[in-house]
Amino acid sequence: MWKAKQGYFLILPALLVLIPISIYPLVSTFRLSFHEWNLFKSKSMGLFVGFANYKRALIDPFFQTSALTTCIFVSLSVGIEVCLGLGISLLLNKDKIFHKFVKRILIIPFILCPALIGYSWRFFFNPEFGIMDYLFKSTALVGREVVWLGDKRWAMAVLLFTDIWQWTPFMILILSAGLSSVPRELCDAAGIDGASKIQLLRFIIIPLLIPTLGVALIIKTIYSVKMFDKVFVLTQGGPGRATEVLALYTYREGFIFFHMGYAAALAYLLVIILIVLVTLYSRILYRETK
Amino acid sequence: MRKPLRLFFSGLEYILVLLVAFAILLPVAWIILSAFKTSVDTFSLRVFFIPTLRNFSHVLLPPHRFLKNLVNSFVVSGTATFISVILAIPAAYGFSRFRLFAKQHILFWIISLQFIPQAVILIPLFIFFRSVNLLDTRLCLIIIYLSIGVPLSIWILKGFMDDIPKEIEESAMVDGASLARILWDIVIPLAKPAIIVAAILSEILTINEFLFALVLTDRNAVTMPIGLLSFHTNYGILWEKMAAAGVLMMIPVFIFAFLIQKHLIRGLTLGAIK
Repeated sequence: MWKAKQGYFLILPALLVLIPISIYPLVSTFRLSFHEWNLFKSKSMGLFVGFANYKRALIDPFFQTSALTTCIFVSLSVGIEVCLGLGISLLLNKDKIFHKFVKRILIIPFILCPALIGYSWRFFFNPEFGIMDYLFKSTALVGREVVWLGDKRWAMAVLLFTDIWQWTPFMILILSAGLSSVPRELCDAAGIDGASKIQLLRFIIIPLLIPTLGVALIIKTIYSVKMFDKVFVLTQGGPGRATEVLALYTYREGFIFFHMGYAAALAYLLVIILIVLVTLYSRILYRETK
Repeated sequence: MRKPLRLFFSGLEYILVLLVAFAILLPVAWIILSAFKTSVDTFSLRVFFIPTLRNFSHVLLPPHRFLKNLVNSFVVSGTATFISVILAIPAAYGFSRFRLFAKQHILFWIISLQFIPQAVILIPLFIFFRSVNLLDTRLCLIIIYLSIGVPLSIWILKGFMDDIPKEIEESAMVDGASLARILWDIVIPLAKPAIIVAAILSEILTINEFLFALVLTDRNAVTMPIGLLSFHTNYGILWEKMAAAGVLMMIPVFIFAFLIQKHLIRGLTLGAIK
């Protein structure tokens, strides 16, 4: 009854649109990464240079620092967000009106425009009239003299803080969805058998949450590696190159200096990093659940 | 547990929950407050001040171009969303019901499109749009936003259609209804909630998109997120004006999000979490 021919007819229009805007760029960028091309100087693609662009990236000190910055940003943002998300989702996992209200407002940071968030946090951390600056300094969490975005370490901290503000609610929502699927009877039974809250968490809730945690971890890692907009408006990679992540470095090479071949190679290195990370994660998770 | 101890813990719990709510709402509230401040008040931490609407009129009236950016944003993401959903409905139905060659591979390819670094897609398309003089037009943004909207919509709709029982369609087929008729009269009405979710999500994601719009537009097709950069002038950043523009950006997105909030997470994780 369901004739395959009709099925192909149905998916064809979507594929015809997706192929030129996804497969074609993927192939084209790959090809480009083996060529020399300065878009300023010539209208057509330059000479084939083999792996020269990739080799150049590996010895390029700016690439190395931005790769390191990306690693720091990704590991800290993902780590902190998953931990905070888990803690807060456990905190909110109750059928109380106030808890439910807080769950409802959790989507706000996530749907706000990242560029707006970036600029606003830049404003909040202004050392003269920023609200966050005031909050942190009046509670004596940091010293008076801190100039947030002018200091290498603090600039990264502000960037992380911004990202954590935007993404932790997303983690909480995902993990809350996971928590609500943990069977109540199981927790009750463990309680009757005398398990403490911590044992309950360690031996029942966390193991059951592993698949959800895995999805959250993978999605967030990918978005952290790709993160561009917030760093662009918040610090523009500065001070110096302290917060220049790979996505920003690729953007600069490609669309400020028009080194198309080199930018293509950088973009593909990012693809490789993403593939490695995702396979690693799924391996670990697969082993855990087996 | 002893009673005072329990009281202490439940008090602590409420304080922590309150802190979470505060942390989420404070920045948003501060943006909204700043939008009504004069430039003098912006440089103070005052919560009580005489509100002004000057920032909004400054942002919306010429010579400022924010109104144009706003129109661009809505035209671009509205059109891209509309086309995405139109393409995704039949495609999702095809994937949901028919046995197709390499179906799982094609679906995996579609879902993984979301995870490709934007630069990979942007570099060749930038070169292409430049060579055909399409840079800085709404059209080139609409085209590139289809790469966000179409995969998202297909994935959401397919997940939903998988849950619709086949029997109604099969009995309609027995009665001799054509495929087009079945899609129009049975599938689309049944899948309406999912269609709305897909449309709103793709609208939110494209209206907030930054990198594509930054590279592909310059003056005429600038969208709201890129329009924010114009408040970053040689004399410094005009915070209160930017906040007013920010409030204008927030309103539609908030309305959209609250309409579909139950489905938001499932949609954003591409159905991995139900």
